[in-house]
Amino acid sequence: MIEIKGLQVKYDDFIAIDDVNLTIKEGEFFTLLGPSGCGKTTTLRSIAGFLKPSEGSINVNGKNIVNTPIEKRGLGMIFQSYALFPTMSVFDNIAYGLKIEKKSKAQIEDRVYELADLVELNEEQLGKNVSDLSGGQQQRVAIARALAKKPTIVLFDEPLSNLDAKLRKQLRLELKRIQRETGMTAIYVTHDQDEALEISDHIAVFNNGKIEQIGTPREIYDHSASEFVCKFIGEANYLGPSLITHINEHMETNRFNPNAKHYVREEKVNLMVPEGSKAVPVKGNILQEVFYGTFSTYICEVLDTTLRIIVKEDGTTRIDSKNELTLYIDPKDILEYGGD
Amino acid sequence: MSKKWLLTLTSAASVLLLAACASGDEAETPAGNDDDTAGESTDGGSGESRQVLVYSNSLAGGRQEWIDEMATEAGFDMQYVEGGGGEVLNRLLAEANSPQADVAFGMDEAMFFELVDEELLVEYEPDWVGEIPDDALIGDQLFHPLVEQRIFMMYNPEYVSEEEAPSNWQDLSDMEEFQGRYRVPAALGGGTDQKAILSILLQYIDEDGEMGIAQEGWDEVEQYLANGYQTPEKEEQLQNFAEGTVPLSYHFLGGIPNAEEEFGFDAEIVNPEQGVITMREQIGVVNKGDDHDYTAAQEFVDWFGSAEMQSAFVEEFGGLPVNESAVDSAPERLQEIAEQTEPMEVDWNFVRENLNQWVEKVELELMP
Amino acid sequence: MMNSRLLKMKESNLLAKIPFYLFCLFIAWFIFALLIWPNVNVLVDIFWVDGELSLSAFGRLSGSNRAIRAILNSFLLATVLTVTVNIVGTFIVLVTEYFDIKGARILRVGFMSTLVFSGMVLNNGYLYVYGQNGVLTNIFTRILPNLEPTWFTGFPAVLFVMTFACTTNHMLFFRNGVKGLDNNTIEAAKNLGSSQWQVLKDVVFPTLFPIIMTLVIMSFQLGLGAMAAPIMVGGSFETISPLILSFTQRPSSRDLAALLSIILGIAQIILLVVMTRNEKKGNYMSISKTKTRVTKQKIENKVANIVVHALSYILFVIYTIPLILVILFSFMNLQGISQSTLSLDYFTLENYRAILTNNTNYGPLLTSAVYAGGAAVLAVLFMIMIARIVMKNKNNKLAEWTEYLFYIPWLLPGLMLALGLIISYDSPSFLLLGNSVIGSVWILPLVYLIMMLPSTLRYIKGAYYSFDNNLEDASRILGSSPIRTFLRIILPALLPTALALVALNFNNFLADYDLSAFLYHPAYPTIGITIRRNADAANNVNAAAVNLVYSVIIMAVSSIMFYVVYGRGSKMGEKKSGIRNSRRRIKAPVIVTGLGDTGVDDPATGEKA
Repeated sequence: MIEIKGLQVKYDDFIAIDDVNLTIKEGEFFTLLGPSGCGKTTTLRSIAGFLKPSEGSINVNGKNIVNTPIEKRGLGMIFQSYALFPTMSVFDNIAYGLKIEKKSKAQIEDRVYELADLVELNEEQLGKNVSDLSGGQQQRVAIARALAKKPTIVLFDEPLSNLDAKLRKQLRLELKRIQRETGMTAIYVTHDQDEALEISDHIAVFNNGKIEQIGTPREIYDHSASEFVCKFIGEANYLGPSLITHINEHMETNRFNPNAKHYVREEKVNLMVPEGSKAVPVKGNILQEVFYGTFSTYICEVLDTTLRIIVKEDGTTRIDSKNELTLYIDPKDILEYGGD
Repeated sequence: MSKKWLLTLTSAASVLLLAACASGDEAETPAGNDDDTAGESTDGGSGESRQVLVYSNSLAGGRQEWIDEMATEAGFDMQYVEGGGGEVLNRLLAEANSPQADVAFGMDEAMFFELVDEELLVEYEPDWVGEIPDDALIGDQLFHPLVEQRIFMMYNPEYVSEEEAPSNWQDLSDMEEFQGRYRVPAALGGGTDQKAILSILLQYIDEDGEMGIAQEGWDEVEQYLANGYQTPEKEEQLQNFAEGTVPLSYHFLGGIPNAEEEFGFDAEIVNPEQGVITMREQIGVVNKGDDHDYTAAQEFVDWFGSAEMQSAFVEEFGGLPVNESAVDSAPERLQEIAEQTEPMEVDWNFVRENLNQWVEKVELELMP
Repeated sequence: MMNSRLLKMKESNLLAKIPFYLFCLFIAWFIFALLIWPNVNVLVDIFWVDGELSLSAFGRLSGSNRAIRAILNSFLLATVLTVTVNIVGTFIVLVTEYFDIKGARILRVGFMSTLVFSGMVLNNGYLYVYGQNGVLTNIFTRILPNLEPTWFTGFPAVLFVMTFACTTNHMLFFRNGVKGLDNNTIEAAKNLGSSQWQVLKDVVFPTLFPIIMTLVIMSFQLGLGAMAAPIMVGGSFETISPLILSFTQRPSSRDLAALLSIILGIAQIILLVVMTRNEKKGNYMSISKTKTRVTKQKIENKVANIVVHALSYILFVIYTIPLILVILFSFMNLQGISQSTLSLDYFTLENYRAILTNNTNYGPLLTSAVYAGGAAVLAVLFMIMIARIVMKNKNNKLAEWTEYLFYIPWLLPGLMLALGLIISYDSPSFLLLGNSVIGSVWILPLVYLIMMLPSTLRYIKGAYYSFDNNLEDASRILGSSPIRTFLRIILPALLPTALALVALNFNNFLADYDLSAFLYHPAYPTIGITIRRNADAANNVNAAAVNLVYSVIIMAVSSIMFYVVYGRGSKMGEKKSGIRNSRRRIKAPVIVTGLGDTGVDDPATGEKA
């Protein structure tokens, strides 16, 4: 278990992260998510030991490692640039950590071949120079190298961001598989929210050096704790004051604060509602329609608000784009931020 | 393979780290040896191993090998530091606080006076001092002359007739027909080049003038330099002299026989009214403190300056010995030139006091 | 309990850092005892006359037209040379490494000749071509009877010689920048419709910008410090360095030398600061991601292709003819040499026989090789460590100053540093752990080492920029100690640059005379001393011939050094993969080097191992 308490890192006078508190359970896939410069990588590098925190503690299994030398922390790490040693072969890259442990030659070879199997590298590739491999293969080498010493905790620093979209998707699943197979604790840094939602057990959303929210992907998506999280994760429609006033008119209690900001997820705006729903109907015009195959999106103008909605193309719904249409928004789906 | 390579680098790295501390130990070897040497000779006195470290500008062209052979035969254990005259002098001056040399020889009297100023010499009267003409003994027994050098103007009679030839250095700049055809120094690092300038300057000594030289003297030097030919680095001035492109030049006595033979000319020497600059290569025992034993150094001076050695030396390498008993051994051509020229009277103490300023002024202001 | 555990951890941390602190202490000692203190002493000695500050040097200098002219000439030369050298240097690298030029290998050998063929010998060679009686001069005078046979002199001649003589750094450092380019970016640009010229302008040059900046500044320095060319072909075009040398050698003029030298030094330091600023803006080199080797570009435009081929071979001739003539003339007797006439009548082996059979030559050659080689290796290793500390603490003022302090040897000539050491340590000093420098064998190599430091640091630092810091992080987190990381990861990555610098430094000091004469130990004369003894014009009318033969021998030794250290050495470093010992026998790989690397192939043939 990793416990981070009150972590602060300064670069000269600039405070990169402040008051970061995290608990990461053994064997879980924990993601640090946020835009660039938000402090997620700083947090990761502090755990690795490349940065020295100015305040706070990092406890691994109850032991504070803030002053432990990097090489004594026993962590694995995978870098955005892979950081493969260019002067060594693929084999030697993977074997590097094992050689430091002074394992026997046979042990080293066995482990390297085991890892090659795990990350799906073949024997010919093991003998190559790292720069002769493709990007995806290089990242596999980097993963194998990081796992060689069977670390219980592995750090990932945007490991997939240099790859193309398809490869990224494929490797993402493989990472998840490897993590499950090895039972390691993964701490994963990314700015890609899709990636985060897909592979994480828990996500910590960072902004401006602070954690905005920690939770499961579903919690973060459905109950975004702040406007930033709401806008950063998934797609959310901003609701203008006129529309909020309109909705408030349909409500008797728990009216929305007109000075606050309001959002609704695009998939939560419906064309039809079941009987007895408390959803508020609003009338609007379609401005634009985009067909995606399994679904379409429509941009609609509703009072002072432009709404993007998603409609499944399963034949149950027909929309005549020339006519005015009625949309339903359920007040419980509206997220309210600020406005005191 | 890989590991060996790495090992080399690693060990080299550790050497670096150790260098600081170890440099002390390393250093002790040679320095310690020297100390031992000094200690030995102090204790031993009579000296079975007579170690002598010589600093000299007169070891080039096979001289060192020759001296070494003879000295070893005579029972000396020799070591040498060699360089140009200025370099050897600089080194002696720089090491003034802990002199290494036992004996210095080959530099001229001006340079030896500088050593005297720094109290770098000890008195010693060699046993051949009686064979030296009295007027050549100017060193207060701190140094004594070995070989005489004269620096003179010369012309190539194939291209310049006796009537045409100039009679003095400063005449050259006024002679239409020789504009750009007489050699002037291109740099003043070397002793011979400096003497060419001195040959003019010393005719214009004036206490009230700038640096003891009348303005006329400076003007003459400037014109002399401006109208002459500076030999580019690549060209051989003797070749130019032999071919007649630059048929007027200057040279030092000791080098004439070889130059004439190699380049095939017969130089005519100009003996101006004031005479030619004559300097003498000196020898002296270096001051290494009161309790140092100078026996070996003194024995070397006695041996090397003796008529016998000087005769043998000039027979081998040319040169005009100051030692009267050895003069006859000098090559005939040298004796001939020596008779044709008059030594100029020079106050070397005055020269030594001013020489560096003069040279600097010429370099900065008068050279074209 | 918590507290005591924390304390323990801190202690072990401290213990692990002890080597580092010791090294810092060593650096501090080195800077103070060997860089600052001697130079302060020598400046005080020079400018402090009779108990007061004497600044008459300013007046004497500013009153001298000759000195002022020399200063202006030096700056003029430096400025123009920067342009010409970079044009020629870039051109020769592009035609040997980037464009598909027929015979690129043989061209490369010619263009690389300046690695060993430099200084006075090189100028000598050029004079055999362009000087009075020169091969080309003879042809020209037949065509143009009015042409002065001494036409090759002055500023144009100096500029011409130095333009071709000073491209060594390009052939080492720019060449490997080009070799380290990512072919994909070139292909991408072409794909987007860029012409070949646009690819160069928009992709190649911007990517190599940091190297180009370094080279611009290095060529400016070479121009400022010009020595051999102005002496040999400059005629009335005088520059500062020869003046500095002659002033240094006369004690009473040393203040002039110091002043002139400081003027040069300050110009260099200003450039350096500009360059450091520039470096901090970042560099554009991508490394360690997928990178493909540059494929040679065929020049599409036919006319351009012919012109570039023609120019390449003309340059090749310009580079090689002087060298060939020097070698040929070393087999001529004095008549042949002094008349610049090649003829079988003048052919002689006597010069070589005399030198090669003279056993007294070999000891000094060995001494020089050990001194220059030892100093070169230690200087490079030392600067690798310094550069590392500087790069690790980029925002630390102390580290920044440490770097600048190592550039001190650029401020004063070597001879003056030597003098400073002697003045400071002519009796046993506690700063040298009770040693004195006088009469020691190690002072000469020590001065060599100190003089090598600034440019070594410069280039090593450049190489560090190409080093991906993540590599170090990766190694550390895999459990490697900082020292092991340094030895296993960082050093191999820097090896090509380091070896090139060892070879360059070695060659620069192998035949040193000025420092040797001042400092050599009587028991161990250097080859520079021996050469002078045997080739002194005052004592040996055959001096020119002897010098030429020694030059050729020194070139041969330097070439061997380059081949062994830079050619073979880098190959060895490259083959370091332990996998070849593996049971399963997998073939060892070849690495591709990045920016600032100096390549891993054989400089003579360009062949990969």
